Amino acid sequence: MASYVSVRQEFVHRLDEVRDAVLTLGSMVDKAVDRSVDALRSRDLGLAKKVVRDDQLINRQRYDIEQSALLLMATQQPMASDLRFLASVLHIVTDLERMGDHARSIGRLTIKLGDEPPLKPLVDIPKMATLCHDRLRGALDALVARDPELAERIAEQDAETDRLQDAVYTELLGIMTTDPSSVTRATYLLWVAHNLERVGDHITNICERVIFAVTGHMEELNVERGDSVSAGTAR
Amino acid sequence: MATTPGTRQPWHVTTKLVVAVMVTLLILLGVMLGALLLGAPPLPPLATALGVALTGFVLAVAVYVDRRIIGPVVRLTRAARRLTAGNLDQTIHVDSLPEVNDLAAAFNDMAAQLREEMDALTVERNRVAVVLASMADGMVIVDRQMHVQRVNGAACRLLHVEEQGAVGQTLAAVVRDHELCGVLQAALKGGQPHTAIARLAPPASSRPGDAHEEPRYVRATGLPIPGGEHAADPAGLLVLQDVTELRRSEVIRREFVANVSHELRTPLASLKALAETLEEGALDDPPAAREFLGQMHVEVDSLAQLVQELLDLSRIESGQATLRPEAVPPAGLAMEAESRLRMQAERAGVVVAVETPEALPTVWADPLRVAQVLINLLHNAVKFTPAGGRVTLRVAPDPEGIRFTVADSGIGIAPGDIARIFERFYKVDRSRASGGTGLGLAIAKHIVQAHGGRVWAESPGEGLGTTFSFTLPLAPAPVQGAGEGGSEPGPDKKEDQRRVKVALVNA
Ligand SMILES: Nc1ncnc2c1ncn2[C@@H]1O[C@H](COP(=O)(O)OP(=O)(O)OP(=O)(O)O)[C@@H](O)[C@H]1O
Ligand SMILES: [Mg+2]
Repeated sequence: MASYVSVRQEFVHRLDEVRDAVLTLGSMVDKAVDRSVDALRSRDLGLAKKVVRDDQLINRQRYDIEQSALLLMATQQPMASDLRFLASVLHIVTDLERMGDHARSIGRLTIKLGDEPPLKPLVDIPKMATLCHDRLRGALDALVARDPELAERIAEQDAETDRLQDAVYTELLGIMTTDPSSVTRATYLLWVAHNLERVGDHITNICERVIFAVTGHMEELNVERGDSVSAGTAR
Repeated sequence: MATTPGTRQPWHVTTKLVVAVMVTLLILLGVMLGALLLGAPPLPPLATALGVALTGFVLAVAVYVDRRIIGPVVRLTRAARRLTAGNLDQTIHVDSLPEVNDLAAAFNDMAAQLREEMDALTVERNRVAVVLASMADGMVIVDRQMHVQRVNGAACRLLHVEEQGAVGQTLAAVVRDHELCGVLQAALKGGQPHTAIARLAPPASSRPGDAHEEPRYVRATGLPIPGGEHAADPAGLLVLQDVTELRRSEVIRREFVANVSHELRTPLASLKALAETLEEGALDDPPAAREFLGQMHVEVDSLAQLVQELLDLSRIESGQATLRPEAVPPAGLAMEAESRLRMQAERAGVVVAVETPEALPTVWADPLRVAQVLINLLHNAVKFTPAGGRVTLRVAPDPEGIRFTVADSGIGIAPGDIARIFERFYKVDRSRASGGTGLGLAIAKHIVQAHGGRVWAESPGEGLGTTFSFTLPLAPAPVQGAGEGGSEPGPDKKEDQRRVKVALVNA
């Protein structure tokens, strides 16, 4: 009996380690997104290059987490709820890694924009970034607290990301039609907005996985998007 | 009596005794009955009496052993257990064999000793708790499994967590910043202190998508705590020192130097260009030469103004400038400033209106300096308000004395900039040819603060106008006590001058 307790304790400790590794990855991705937009706003090419470079670290961390999650699944005969948690981790790290890729894309776009004169002071794009930061924090909070309601609330906020992206589209399209010389720069900014919108989608996916891990129900929260300009198929 | 011992062993001893006595009695009875049944002649009364006496003796021995030995031992055992359970107020009095009495005395000594040591420990722990709580730096202590054991108030504020929620959680779950966690991990791995500057993630804004607070920067130091093998032993300490202000003033200083050089270079470069043009032949063309000379004058004037402003600022900042405060009617200050700006406002197509109530108490201020502040604010308002706009200068009573307000309908200021416009050289839009150096508001702020007042700006946003306000303290009531309007007796003149001095030094 005593040995069962300690085996269980050891396993719970391992699960906590996996969760902490996910939080670490989350923090890496959070900073990557934040820095990519910071670099864009302040035209800090050094920072943009760092974001692009550091994406490798994100990929490695994701791989490590995957390994330890699979190892635990294979060797520890986890109970159903632990198994759901580990399965969710596998999905969550994939989403986080993709978010990192989007940050890297923003970094690349910033480098391409180089020191061309700024098109306009950025307003909605930084707003999208702060929204992503807040929502990612909330989604990971939901993971730590095993709180499906919080996850659901965070998922709902994706509508705001979409709204902001539409605002960016409308504004940039207006600029492009009046000033043809702005087309390249405006297109880059459109891509940035698109990348941030995808980051928001991945956060919604994370929320779905948190709900699944806790309740065992899988809900498609990523809906009602078809007709907006931003229509991109949720993976 | 020890008939309901709370623990297992004494039960055994007592039970055994009782059983032994019962068995003896039963055997005796059995023998007697058997003898009767077998028709043996009844036992002689002597034998019966002996049997009964024997039984009585055995019983007596049992009771004695139970009272004098087992009872005290049981009580000692129970006290020892309560002691282990943490109840240190254990003194026990027994009356038993000398050996047991000695044991009890030793036990009492031990309990007393433990009490003393625990008291010392508690005092020590309270001291540590007080130190932790009162430290300005954040502190997080983790155990060997990286669970947070203690976290002080400063750390809670920096990390936006609550103590109850944080203790027992893993560091990664509490801190949510891999770079910050990494500092402590590196220290634990390397067995020596590790330091890094980290930018803390701002807390989520209350409404999704709202702008965040300014991020805070900390100098994070991870320290390994030596000793201890158990998982629950403290293993590491993370110290968080808020360096946001330090960083900000460093940035301001760097920008200051860059700005001074920039502001000096621009007029110097045009002076040089003008001189060269003159040299290269423009001198022979008197009308052109005169025009160039005129431009050189303008540049020299702006240089002189810049130098003057810098001097003013540094004198005020270093507390060398002395105010000559006197009782001044505030409405007069406002009218005067407005009249000096009227021409300029008319040229810019901006209407300036002054609104003051009839009777206002006098303020305690240096009229020249306050005029400088008012002119700066009015000048800005006119400069940043497009033609057709409106500027209103209001003077009104305020809990802090008298409040001056300069409200315009101009270009407004974004929330991100409003906190910074009072910094030296800060200009919202550097590219806009506003013709200023960005020192006006910095000087105004220092002057107002030197008077013991406050100055602040509000703007609903870009394009929506701006309102600057500042307060000045009331003048002390005249000594004759015949003050009209019932103004309170203020501090006497001498004390007030001293206060102004102090404010100047602190500015
Ligand atoms: N009424 C206003 N409306 C909008 N912006 C303002 C207003 N007043 C000040 N500002 C902003 O604050 C900045 C700092 O003002 P400040 O008076 O210190 O400098 P300045 O007017 O540019 O130069 P100086 O006063 O030294 O000639 C200005 O450059 C401007 O961007
Ligand atoms: Mg000014």
